[in-house]
Amino acid sequence: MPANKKYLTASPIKRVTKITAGFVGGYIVTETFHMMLMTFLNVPNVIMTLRFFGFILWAVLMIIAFLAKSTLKIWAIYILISLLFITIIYFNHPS
Amino acid sequence: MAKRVYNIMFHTHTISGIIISAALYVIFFTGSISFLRDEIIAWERNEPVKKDFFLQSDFDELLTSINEEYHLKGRDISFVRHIEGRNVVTKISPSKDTLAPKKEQKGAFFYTNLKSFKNVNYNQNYSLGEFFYRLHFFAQLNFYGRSGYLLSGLIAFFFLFAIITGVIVHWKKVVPNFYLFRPKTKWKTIWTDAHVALGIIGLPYQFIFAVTGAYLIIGYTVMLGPVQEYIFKGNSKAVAEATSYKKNISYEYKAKSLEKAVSINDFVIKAQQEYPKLQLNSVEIFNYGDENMHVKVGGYPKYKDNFLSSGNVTFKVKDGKIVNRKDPNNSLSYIEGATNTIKRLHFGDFGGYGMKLIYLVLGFVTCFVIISGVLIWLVARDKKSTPNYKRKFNSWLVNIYMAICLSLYPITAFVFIATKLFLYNNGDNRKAFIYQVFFWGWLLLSSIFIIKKDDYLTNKVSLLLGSILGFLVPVSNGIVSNNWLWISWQKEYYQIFVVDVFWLLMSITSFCIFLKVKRNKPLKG
Repeated sequence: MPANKKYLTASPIKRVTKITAGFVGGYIVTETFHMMLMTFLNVPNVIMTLRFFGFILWAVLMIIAFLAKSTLKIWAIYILISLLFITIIYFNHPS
Repeated sequence: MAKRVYNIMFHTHTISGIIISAALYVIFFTGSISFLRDEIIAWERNEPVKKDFFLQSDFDELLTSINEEYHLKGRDISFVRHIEGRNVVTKISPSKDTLAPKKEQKGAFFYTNLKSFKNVNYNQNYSLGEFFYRLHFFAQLNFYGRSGYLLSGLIAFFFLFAIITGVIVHWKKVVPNFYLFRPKTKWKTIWTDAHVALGIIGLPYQFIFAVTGAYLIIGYTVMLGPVQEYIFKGNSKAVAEATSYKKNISYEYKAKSLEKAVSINDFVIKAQQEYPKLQLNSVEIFNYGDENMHVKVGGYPKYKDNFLSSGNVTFKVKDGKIVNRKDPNNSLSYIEGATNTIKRLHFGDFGGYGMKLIYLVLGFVTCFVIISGVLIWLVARDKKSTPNYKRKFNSWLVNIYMAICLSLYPITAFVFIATKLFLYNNGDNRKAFIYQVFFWGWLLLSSIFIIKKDDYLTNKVSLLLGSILGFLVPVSNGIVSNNWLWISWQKEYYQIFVVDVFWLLMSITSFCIFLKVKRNKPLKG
């Protein structure tokens, strides 16, 4: 019954990049996404949402990272999305 | 579903599950016990309370008694009752009078018994209820800062991950597998069927607990670090203010004495008259004895009236007028609503004891889902193609897991009895006593099981010991306090009654399971 190894990531380096993409990359996307929302919406309300919804989003992003075929690609996608959010924050931040 | 997706999900579910399993079991077991936290505290102190206890308390007398030691003039004082018991948290601020003697420039924090007016510190106030409540988020593991909280929070988060991946794995066959139970086949099938069926029944419950648990323990620290850094420029006070629906109001200290006799009790009664359906739980006094003295009385509506809200009334003492109020019926903000929804969902305090019973049972069901998951992991790898050293390691690991998890039940019953029989004083050693009995006992029992290396024996002995000791919990209470089940029912000591009944039911249930469990060799698979 254990999962068929044929479909799993074999190389240890790739595995580490995949796990970090999900755990670290997913966290960065979650945070930047909500901070981007804060520049548009009521800040305390978004903070409240981040405190519980953040975990759901983060878990989903972790799953997506595990399903990705290329580990570098998923890192690149997560970094690009975060950069996009950061750019929006930068231009939209009130101060 | 593509085979690749299935296998990846399956693997991540397995690995995340096996890593968090034992810790998650401890969290769920002690967490389930903590649904009865307030009742356990009332039980062990033999201090049952009636519903209107707070309202009936004499705050004027209490303040007179505290005033002797702390000289309250010019200070802010608050009494907040978080737990449905006789003790409230008392906070006293430093005196705002610049000419006050040195002793009064320090604040104070302690617990006050509203009936006897006795003040105790944290250690003297420590209780079994507090112990299990704190163990369920690993407060005892806070060796480096908040490391225990962080650990339990991350476990909750990975539990969420395991839930989602588990649902994806079973998605295709979720309906047919739900009705599938084949008890007479090989162990792997039995554990899998039980794991899937109970996992699906408990799914909404487990999802609630994964999300709300992560929110409660690390939602602030883990999620708001970057927000504080970049949006609030490192200002932690601003973040704290933005996340709380309670707005801090301060009243200026005029340094002129109030020439009037004051009764706080009158304000409490007035506040109750303003909002008759509010269950009061806090009294805050600003600038005690000053011309600008204010009294704020607050509380929560009953869950039947309003699920989410809170209300309070603030009086200016000089003329007795209401200067500020929060109507519990139409003042709900998104933050307050979300905060209180999550809390209520997590604590299960929105439907009386019936709801708590359902929560309790689902909590223990989740414990079983965790155990069966670990056992699937073991039996699925227990075959000839697996190298021998791996099989040895696997059974060794599961052996330890089972020993740690299953011995939790008898040792919990044991610590209840020990506390009841030997811990009736209010000394400083309460915490140390509970720690020593519980952790040494747990270590001893699980070590014996680990040495015995027999999962069947571990299970059987834990169930038997648990049911015997569990039965002795109400007996010990009857002997020490004379509040036997039927007496506490007659005297309407419902909190004490509930704890005794809980242990009786636990004991009977586990004894029935003990009789049912037999070492049978299922069909070879």
